[in-house]
Amino acid sequence: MTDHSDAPHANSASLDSTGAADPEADGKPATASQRQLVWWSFKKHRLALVSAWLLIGLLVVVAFTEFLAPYDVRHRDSEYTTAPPQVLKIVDTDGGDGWRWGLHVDGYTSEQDERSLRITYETNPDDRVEVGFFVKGEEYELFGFIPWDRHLIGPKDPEDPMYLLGTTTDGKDLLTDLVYATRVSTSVGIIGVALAFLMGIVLGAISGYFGGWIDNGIQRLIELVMAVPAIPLWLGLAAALPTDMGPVMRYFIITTILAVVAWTGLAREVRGRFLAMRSEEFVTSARLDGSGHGRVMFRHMLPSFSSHIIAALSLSIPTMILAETALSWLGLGLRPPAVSWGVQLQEASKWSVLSGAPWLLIPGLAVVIAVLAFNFVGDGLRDAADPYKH
Amino acid sequence: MFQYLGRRAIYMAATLLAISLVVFVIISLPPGDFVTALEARYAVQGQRLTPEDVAELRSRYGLDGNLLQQYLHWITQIVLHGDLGMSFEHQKPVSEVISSRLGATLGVSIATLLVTWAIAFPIGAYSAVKQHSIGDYAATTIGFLGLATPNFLIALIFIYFSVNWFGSVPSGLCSPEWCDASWNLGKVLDLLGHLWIPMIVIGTAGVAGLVRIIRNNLLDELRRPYVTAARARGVPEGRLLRRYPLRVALNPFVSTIGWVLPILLVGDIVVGQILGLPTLGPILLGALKGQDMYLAGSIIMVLSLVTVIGTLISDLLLGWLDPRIRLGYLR
Amino acid sequence: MAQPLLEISGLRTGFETHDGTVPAVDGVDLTVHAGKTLCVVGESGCGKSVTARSILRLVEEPGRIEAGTVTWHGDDEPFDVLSLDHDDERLQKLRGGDIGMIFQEPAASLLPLRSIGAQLIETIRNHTDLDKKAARERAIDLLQLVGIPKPHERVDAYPFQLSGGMCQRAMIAIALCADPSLLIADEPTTALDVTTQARILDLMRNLQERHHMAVMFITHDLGVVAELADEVAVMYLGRVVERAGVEELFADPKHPYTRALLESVPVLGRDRGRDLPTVPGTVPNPLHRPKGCSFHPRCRDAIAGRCDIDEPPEVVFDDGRTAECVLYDDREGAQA
Ligand SMILES: Nc1ncnc2c1ncn2[C@@H]1O[C@H](COP(=O)(O)OP(=O)(O)O)[C@@H](O)[C@H]1O
Ligand SMILES: [Mg+2]
Repeated sequence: MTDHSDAPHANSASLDSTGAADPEADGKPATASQRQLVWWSFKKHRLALVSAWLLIGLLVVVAFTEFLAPYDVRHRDSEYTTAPPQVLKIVDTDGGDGWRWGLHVDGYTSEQDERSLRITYETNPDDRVEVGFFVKGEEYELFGFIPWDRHLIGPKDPEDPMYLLGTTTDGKDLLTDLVYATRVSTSVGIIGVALAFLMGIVLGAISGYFGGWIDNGIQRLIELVMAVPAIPLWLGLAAALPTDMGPVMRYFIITTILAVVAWTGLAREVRGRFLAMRSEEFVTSARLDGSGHGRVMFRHMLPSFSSHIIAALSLSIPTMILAETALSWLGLGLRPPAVSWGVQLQEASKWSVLSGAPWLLIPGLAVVIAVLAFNFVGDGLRDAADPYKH
Repeated sequence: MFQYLGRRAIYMAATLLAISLVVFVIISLPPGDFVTALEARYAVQGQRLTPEDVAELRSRYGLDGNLLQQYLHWITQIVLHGDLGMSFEHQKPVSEVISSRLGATLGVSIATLLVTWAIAFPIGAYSAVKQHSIGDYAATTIGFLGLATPNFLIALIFIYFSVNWFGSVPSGLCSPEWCDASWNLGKVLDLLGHLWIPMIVIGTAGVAGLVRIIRNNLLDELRRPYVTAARARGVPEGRLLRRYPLRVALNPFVSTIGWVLPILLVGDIVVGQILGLPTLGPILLGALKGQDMYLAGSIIMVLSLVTVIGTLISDLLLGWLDPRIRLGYLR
Repeated sequence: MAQPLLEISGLRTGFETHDGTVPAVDGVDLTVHAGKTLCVVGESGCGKSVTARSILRLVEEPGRIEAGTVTWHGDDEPFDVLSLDHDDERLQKLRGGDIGMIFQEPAASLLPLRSIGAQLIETIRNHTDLDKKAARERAIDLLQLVGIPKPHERVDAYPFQLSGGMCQRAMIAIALCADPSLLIADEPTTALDVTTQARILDLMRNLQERHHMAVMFITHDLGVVAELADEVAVMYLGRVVERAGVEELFADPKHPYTRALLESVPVLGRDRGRDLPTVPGTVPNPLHRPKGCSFHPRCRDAIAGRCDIDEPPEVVFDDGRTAECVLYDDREGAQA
């Protein structure tokens, strides 16, 4: 492109020419200050900053799932199926004896329709369920090895019902499921992108660094893979899996399938960066210094565009999350007993159920929020990494 | 131009070859094959197939020999006889199952595509020209939301309100009284009355994506030197916008046909399922779930073919719109 | 002295950025005389292009013209361009009619999707009342005039089918289509190779003689200045630091910046068309303009305690030339 503004080149040229003298010594402060610049301009995107906090929250949920969920994921309360959400209250005003302070929720009353025999639940202000923080509940192992039985929030009497987001048709706590599903869905996105990135970066880097016929071959390959429409491909591959596969295996295979289909975009991105940089001075000089190909690629070139890469990664994760959600919702991705946002939303597919239980759509809200957050962070990063292109 | 066309055609053939390979892999992935499934079914009915029968069947369906031979048999059957294999679930040739529904699928998708364009283009253009205006912020926000919301979720929300407000879910493409009627104004109106729901559900993500594309492209174009240069020679603002950046920004828009079509077709899987449309989506889903692989693979093949044709059409349109492409100065 | 055609006075143009307003043009006074060539020279980033764009109000977001006047004397009544309404006819007539403008990147300044003929005809019909056919004839004549071979064929060519030099000729043809009295050329040869550069310069000199146009020529190449200029204005960091006739300037540069520029004139054929090689140091970011004289950190003659504190005065010499430098503060017309 000839019509690019010359300003950024002028800048990078001056950076590189200092690096040319001694790339090892001068490269570090240059990237450090580059990183700082990126961080400064990232901070100015308020939406991106808020989203970054949201993502950190998401990671906390992923790490402390068992502690944050009020119940064990296998907990099933056949007494309360399809019960509506309760509101967390700190003061009770409608008891006869004035105000009673203390965290609590209202219990349920049930009613059975005479003709359809369907049981419907309603919250009942007269029935008080005491709620506390760090309550004793079902035992679990934090991070897989620390045995514990405390939960962030829960009913003081484990026999009492506390379903802040309501329950599913088979009496599972929606909040608990949501917390577990967050771990699964987010990690599918992140691991999937990491895999895709790994494939993309190896091929893309080789392609962009060596150029010539190697580049040509890899490019044609990428083009062909891209020409096969991604979503039918996802569907087909997922459907071809054996039906009797265990949930963990299925999780990894589905993640791999998502990655296999998605790596091409990242590969192109990486290749473009490498091509642009290959001819720049500090790379040439590092080569002349006698550094090997691998060393030049991964020590000198990768760090200098890490913000772009992070931005591209962050923008790919939502695609993965959406794909997993759709696959699972269609019944082709993860399957119960695994919980993911898509699996949760399957509950809501029957309109006879959904019409009486709109809270079953709450996992959809989680999908939208997570996808938006990743997108905003990605956009913010990309803009910050590329101040000249708005 | 002819060179350009030739290049596109060769490229298309290569793509189709790649797609057919992938589809064949998908078909062959599940353990067992068509004959195994048939054996199982006969076994359920208490009949036994002799090993000779099995071998006979295998050679009839081209399932003997190694994978490469199987692929060659499969692809020659398709190319020479239009034979896509047998659907296990439907007990019919796949081509029959597909052809009865292809029309409705394409109809819904193309109608949605046109509406998507008609909505997205003005919004995107407005949003770029009036950057930072309230309208721009609104369009951008809705665009982000539209992209972040899976379309089955939109369908579910839609159903929730529809059931609670009207007590039912509108389904199918026509009301019973019109379905068998011959085409007249009433039937067209009835069709439109049914069509807007799948359109909204299928089209939202497409509109959101296209608005973003057109907005970003137009913003880029508006900063190009030729805009300043045209202004400097006194081209009036309205004409400046129409003749210059809008025209250039149309290019990437046109080239989106290739990727919008598959999105729409997949949206159909979701919506067709929920709204009971007579389209390919629900059939594909059923086939995938039942591992009716010839049917599933063939539908995927057909969807891919539609996509490839869509890409070809968009390439031709691009060549017609942009002399740089037509004359081979830009690939 | 010739009549003033265009008078810029106290022009300030700033760009709103996240880090504050960048004062790209910070109080510029310039005069272009009818039929003469004014060369504006200075390193990259001094605000030359922004000055030129401000004249026709072409500064783009986030830029804004904050103060100053641009007086046009070409009509019967002089008027201030900057105070015209957006849809004032005089502004439309000025753009492309009385003032033609050409840019640094000729290929990018033409719309790639339309033939150069179409763009030429559009401008002709905008500023004259020729019909389509006559406009096409005129377009071909103009292409011939700017030295494009086979104008009958080239009129239907697309910009990407032409070389950079040919594109710049086409741009000149477009700029000339309504017989302007001023041609603003913003580094029109920077993107071209040396031979093409020389041809375009020749063409511009010829055209100027033939049409009695004034030219405002922006460049960072002092060689070009010597070839073309009647008068020269030297810009540094958004200000005009020295103004003089071309002979006086080359014979006796006053401002230390001008001297540094002259010393750095590139070796023949080596650095032409690139940024000036060797004025020591780099142009500071206009956001962080040095206190006092903005050139003092790079100035050999800087006086500590004076140049880094006070804004330099504008000194007017006997022959009308000016320099913004304390060196001449109290000894007028002195030799350096
Ligand atoms: N779009 C813009 N945004 C921010 N700053 C700008 C923009 N355009 C120009 N500038 C500022 O104006 C200064 C002068 O630019 P310019 O007039 O293009 O310099 P030159 O003398 O090389 O033509 C630059 O240093 C830059 O800081
Ligand atoms: Mg400039």
